[in-house]
Amino acid sequence: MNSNPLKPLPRKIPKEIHPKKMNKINRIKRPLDNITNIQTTLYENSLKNPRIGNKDKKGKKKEKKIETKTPKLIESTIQNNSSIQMVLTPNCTSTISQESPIKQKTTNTDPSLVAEYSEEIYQQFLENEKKYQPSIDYIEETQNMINEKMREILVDWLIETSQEHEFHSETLFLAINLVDRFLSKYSVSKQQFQLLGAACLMIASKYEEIYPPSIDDFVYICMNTYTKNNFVVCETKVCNELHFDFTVITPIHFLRRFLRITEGSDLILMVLSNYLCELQLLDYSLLKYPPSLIAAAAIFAARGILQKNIWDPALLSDCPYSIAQLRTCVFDLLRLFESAKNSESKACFSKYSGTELYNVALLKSPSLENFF
Amino acid sequence: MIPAKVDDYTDLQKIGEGTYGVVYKATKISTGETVALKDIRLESEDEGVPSTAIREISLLKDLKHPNIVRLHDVINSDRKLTLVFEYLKQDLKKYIDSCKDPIPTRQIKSFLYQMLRGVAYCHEHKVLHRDMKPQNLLINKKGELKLADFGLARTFGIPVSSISKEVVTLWYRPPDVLLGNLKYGTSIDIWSTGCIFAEMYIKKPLFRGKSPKNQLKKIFKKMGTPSKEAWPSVVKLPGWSEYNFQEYPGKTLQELVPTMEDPEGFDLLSRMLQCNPAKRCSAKEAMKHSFFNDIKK
Repeated sequence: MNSNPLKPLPRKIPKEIHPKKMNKINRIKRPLDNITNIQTTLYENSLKNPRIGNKDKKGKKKEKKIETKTPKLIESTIQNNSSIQMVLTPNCTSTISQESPIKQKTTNTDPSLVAEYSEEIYQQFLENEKKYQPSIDYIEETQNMINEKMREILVDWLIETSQEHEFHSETLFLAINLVDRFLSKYSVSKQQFQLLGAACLMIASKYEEIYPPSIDDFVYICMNTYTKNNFVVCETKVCNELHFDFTVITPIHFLRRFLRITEGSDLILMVLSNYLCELQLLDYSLLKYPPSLIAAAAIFAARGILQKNIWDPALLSDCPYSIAQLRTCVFDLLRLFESAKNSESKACFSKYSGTELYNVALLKSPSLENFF
Repeated sequence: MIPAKVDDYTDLQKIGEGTYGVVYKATKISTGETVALKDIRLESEDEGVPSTAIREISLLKDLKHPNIVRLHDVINSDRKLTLVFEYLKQDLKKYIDSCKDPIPTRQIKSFLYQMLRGVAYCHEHKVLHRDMKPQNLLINKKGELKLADFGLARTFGIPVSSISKEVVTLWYRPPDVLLGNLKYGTSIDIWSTGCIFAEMYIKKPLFRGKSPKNQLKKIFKKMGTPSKEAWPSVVKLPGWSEYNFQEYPGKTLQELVPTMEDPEGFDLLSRMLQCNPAKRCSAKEAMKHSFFNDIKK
């Protein structure tokens, strides 16, 4: 318990914001506080935002930066797959190119795979996944001022902010879980809604990220709408009310395993099922599904979109659901997949429309008959 | 649940400085139970709740095991968080220092077994402790040993994605992490446990380096510089070509830990102190080792 001089010092982000980072933040800072006018201003804002508005659906790519980063979830999912290995160092520039799907046989000696404990861990995921979930009707039951649309806008903004900071997928999923759980207990005003979202993202980044941004960064992202002290107070409130229960199981935890199990897993399937899981975050009505169901349904839906054998027996026998249980969730995900193409909430769609992620968001929806 | 308050505790005595604040011994008025209170100051001009506290609290809340220190409560008062832990009188470091004679083998076995049981439990719950050292192992009169200080712990997905290298106090840090391996997994805690195993015999840390490079040199001098044949992926680690160590032959464990007489002990130690993380045994495997045949489990 005594302090030890050898203990590494906690890493802190330098107080001054690096100019490069400033640019990045400038691009995404966007007021959500004015949520009263949300139906008008916000959409205008999002359309003005160069990163969001530039959808070119005809497939004509704007000149994008050539170097792209592989999202961290995908990077690790790839490392996870015993038939595919990518040599990627953290945050390094990815070497993914569509021409070389990088397939190398690897032996299963990677110590980070912790194969020995994977069964126990999976069983615990299943046992505990429902422990820290939000109520599925809190908007009707608890909230007076927040509606589904406002939640969607906040989630979209959180997705975008996470992308810009290159957070792990776990961070994003955790942040949204915290927002939903807090809203399940307390009514929040429109004015405080973005603060809650940002504070939850801050907590999630402290939990998951190696170098979480500073409070100053978050103040800046919210365009100084809230003070540093607002953040500290809100953070404490969330921590207290949620009793510091932040070890939350999310669809991402299951997705990694299921991708390893499912037959014919490849990069596109991984990217697409990740996309479906992220899209699902936007839709309040999907809170009713447990994380494992969402992860499994995302893979089956992705298989359908990619015209693979949909009801892969390997995954069916590993996941705890029958086709009948999965089907409604799969249909919901496919509905979202289609509606995302015309939705105002663009962050997720934009990210997955890019070439570096194989334009998966632009793929054609399959006929639902295929799922029967 | 009624929120706990600092007023619920009395007889506060400062017993040390923790990672982020003062640690007190105190008595819970309602039950008379002795607890340890760990204060975390929250300054608004600072960064709010430290990430170490966020991780430690949320992880420990879900870890309930006889070999892991219990977090009873979290008290949140104005500008201060107080963690209420079960109280254990001593840590293993102080115990080792206080023993004039060699520690009896039976005692070492018992401590090591309890350590491994705590570590295995963490690993099964996808938690890496990442700061195993004698100071963080608490013991009591009954001879119970518990893992404490989860300030550096974190969960790992499967697989473990690249995570921080600023982990584990230098002396207990495994060579792969010292060489820049960011994809470490559960093996990180096994190396540290092996170091502590040896330390209980020789009563001083096994490898006492002054810098990461010096630490590696100390390890290689004693364990032998790993060959590319024994550890093929070592050449890919950034530190390997950077430091370019000469090929030390290494010593035998018998020379390094002369007071350990038990051949079974040497065998177990050699499985834990493998430079190549893929060859290091798991906590679960170690618990099954014949070294522990004669202890009560």
